[in-house]
Amino acid sequence: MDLTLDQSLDDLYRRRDTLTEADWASLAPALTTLALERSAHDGIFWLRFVQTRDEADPTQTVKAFPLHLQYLHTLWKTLATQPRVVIAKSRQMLVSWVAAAFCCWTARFIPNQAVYYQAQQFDDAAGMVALAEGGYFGRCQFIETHLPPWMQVDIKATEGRIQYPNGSMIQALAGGADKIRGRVVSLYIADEFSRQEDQAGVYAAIAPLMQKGSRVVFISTPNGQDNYFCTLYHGRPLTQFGLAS
Amino acid sequence: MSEPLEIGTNDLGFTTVRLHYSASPDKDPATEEGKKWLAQMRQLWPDPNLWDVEYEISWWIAQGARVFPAFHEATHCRALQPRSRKVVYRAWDFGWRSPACLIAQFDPQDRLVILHELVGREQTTREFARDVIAQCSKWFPFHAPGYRDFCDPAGQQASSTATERTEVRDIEILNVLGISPTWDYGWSRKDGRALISQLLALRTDQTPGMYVDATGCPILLQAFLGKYVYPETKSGKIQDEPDENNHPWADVMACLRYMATGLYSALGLRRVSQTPTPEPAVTWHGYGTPVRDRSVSHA
Repeated sequence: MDLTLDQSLDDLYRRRDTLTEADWASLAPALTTLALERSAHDGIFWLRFVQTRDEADPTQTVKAFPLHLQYLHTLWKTLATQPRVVIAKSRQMLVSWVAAAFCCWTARFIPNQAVYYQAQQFDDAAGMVALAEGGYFGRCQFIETHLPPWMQVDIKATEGRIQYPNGSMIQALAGGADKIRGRVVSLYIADEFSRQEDQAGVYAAIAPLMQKGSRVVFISTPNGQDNYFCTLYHGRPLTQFGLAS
Repeated sequence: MSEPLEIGTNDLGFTTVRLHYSASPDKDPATEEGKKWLAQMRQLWPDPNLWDVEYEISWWIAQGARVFPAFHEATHCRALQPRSRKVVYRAWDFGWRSPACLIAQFDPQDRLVILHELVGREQTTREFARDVIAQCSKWFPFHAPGYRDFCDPAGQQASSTATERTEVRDIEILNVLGISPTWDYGWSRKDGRALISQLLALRTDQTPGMYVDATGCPILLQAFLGKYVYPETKSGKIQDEPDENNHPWADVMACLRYMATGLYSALGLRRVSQTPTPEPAVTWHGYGTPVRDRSVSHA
């Protein structure tokens, strides 16, 4: 899909109110198909339909995904194109929202994906994926339920898990190597990895899967040097020292 | 200066992303809005080290309470020049895993300036000492004023007898190489830490008693900034003693303690335990009657 089509879609959506219901009814299915096709292989295009939640802003709790922030485009492209990514970040950079959106995008547009989101505590991971229906939404759940109606799919959300009709799922995991060991992973995201327990064990469980093509993303603010996140970021243990080095 | 968003690859084949807050226009200190955001945020984060971890992507800070919270890079770090006519002080901490040596001098204002650090890795004392001598001859060629060396004052080690015997052997090795370290008995680790705290305090000329060359002493700098800490227990309580097994940061700090204890009188430091406590003013006679006020004039 090229820029011309992108602009055409925008124009058409902008002029939606000038169309009669009959015209729109005939146009909508084609537009929907086009937008979905485009979204499937252009995540940044899909992000324009994504809403985020800002609990700290009582005047506007639901906001469009902040596509005006150029660094989020770069971050998304990196996630979409690189199989192994480690992100060292400042806080409040919306990286968790990008990660949640990336999980949704992967699961909804590629069939039979096993997406795992691991955090130190299960509650934190579930808060990123899905919480029990009828209350506060997990982030992935929020994204899915706030897409335009024509883009929504029939997801099944339970606490810590979203299942998609195409056979994909997003699963929240508590920290620890035993939680991920033995699973076959399409996409693995570790949030605040530098603060998780048994990081070396988690990496040992993940490493064989990377060789088979699983995509992995480690995200965290730094937490000193004596942890595996630091080693993964720098490509070597920083605690090695000595005159020889 | 790092870019706000840096993307690279490392030896493990990972794509690395470093995302600093300045990548966001509303947080970029180069903009008015960003300046305002930064000022507000800094106000909310009174601990500059915690700020560095959470926002500045600093890898040098660890969990726990810093032993020397008074240390600030801006105050205590300078690019330092050696003085060819002054004695070079060296402090040694032995140990096969990470032997360490700090190299310092006095500056014209009698401040202790830490110029270099040398940290070995899995080296015997003999190998390490040879490396130090070779390195010192490069840094201070034909240094006429000579060197003065300090090492572990006996009694600071946890296992006194066994460790003391080892120290003797290490000192004998140094003696063979022409190095004669001195030490003083009766200093505890706590005393040493108290002396370092005195060195970090601002003097009457509003400068600290000690400067560190950040380029020459990266491990010492890391130790000050957060690698030498009172560790936290699992329940979140801070332990009473710093983590002395955190090599090599604890080792360079040990060197600094030996240097401070060796030079304490030259540096004008005071030993807390030997500071006399002033007698309280006597306001009564032997039998408890109040002292008469004699300042009233009888003119």
